[in-house]
Amino acid sequence: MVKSKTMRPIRRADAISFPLDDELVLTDAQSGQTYTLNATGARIWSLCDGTRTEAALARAIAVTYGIEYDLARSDVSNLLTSLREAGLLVAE
Amino acid sequence: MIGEQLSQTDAPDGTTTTPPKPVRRKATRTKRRELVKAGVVIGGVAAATYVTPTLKGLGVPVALAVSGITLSKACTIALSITSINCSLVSGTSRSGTFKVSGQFTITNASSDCGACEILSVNMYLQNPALIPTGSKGCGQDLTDGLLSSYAGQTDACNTSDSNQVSVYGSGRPGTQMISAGCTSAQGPYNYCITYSGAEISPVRFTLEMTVYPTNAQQTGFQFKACDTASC
Repeated sequence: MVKSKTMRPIRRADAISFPLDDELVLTDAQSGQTYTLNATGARIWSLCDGTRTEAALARAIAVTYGIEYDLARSDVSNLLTSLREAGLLVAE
Repeated sequence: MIGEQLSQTDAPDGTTTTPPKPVRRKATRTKRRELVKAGVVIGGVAAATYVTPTLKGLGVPVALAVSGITLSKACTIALSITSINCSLVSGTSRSGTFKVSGQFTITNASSDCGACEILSVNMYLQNPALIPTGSKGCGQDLTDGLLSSYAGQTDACNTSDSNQVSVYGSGRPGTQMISAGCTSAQGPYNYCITYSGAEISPVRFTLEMTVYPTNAQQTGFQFKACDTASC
C-alpha cells in the first residue's frame, strides 16, 4: 500500500478500448476478457499514462468533479486495484 | 471535455467569475455526495455528475455454437478452413513436432447484415477421435482431446513463426472488421502453430472469438466457430 503512493499507473498498451454509449469497453486482447468502465472510471483510465501517481490521479479527479480529495483518493485507489487485478495495468 | 463541463457547472451560483465562499462550497460538496449515494442524475448536467468509478466484467460472453456456422445476436459468422499444411519438424512420422499452418476465412452471414468487430481470438486443436459421442458440437468440450490451445498474438504470421493465430489481417490488432453485407468475406487469415505429440489427422480447429457488433444497440459476445481439416 505504501508503495502504491509512488507508483505511476500505466495502461497496458495492448488493451483494446472503445467508447460505447457513456462507458468505455476494455478488452484484454490476450485473454479475451472484456470489461466496462463507467464515465468516471474512463476518465481515470485515460489519465493512467505513467506520469501521475495515485495521489496525482486523485487530485485530478477531485478537481475535475469538484469532490473532496479523500473521496477521490479512495475511489481511485479502489479502481486501480480492480484494474491491476484484471491485468489491465502494466507493472509500474 | 467532461471535466470542462464540470468546472463550469461546479460554481455554486452558476457563474465562474466569483470565487465560491467556503460555506457555500461545502454545501455543494454535500449535495454532490448525496447525488453519488443516491445514484441520481439531475437534468441537463448528467455528464457532470460524479459517479463512483467502477470496472465491471461484461458478463455477456456466452458461447453459442453450431458446427460450421455460429448464430449469435446480430452477427452470424461462418468459418471455413481454406488450407492446411502440416510438416514434420522433428521425430517420426507417427510422433514428433509438427508445424501446422494454413489459412481460414470468415464470412459475414449476419441476419441483419451488420458489421462486427473482432476483438480477440483463441484457437483450439482437438483430436476428434477423443471427443465423446454426444459432445461433438462445435465449441463444446474443448478440453476433450485437446492437443493445444493458442491465443491470437499478432498480425504477422508466416510458416517460420510458431503458435500464432492471426485474425487481424493487415489492420492494427483489435480493429479488424467483418464488414457489413450478407456475404462479405474477410480473409484469408493465417495461423501458424507448432504441435508436439502424436500425429493427428484430421484435426478439429475451433476458433473462439470475442466480437462486438458495431450496432451500439447490440451487446458484445463471444462465440466459437469450428471446422475440421486433415493434414
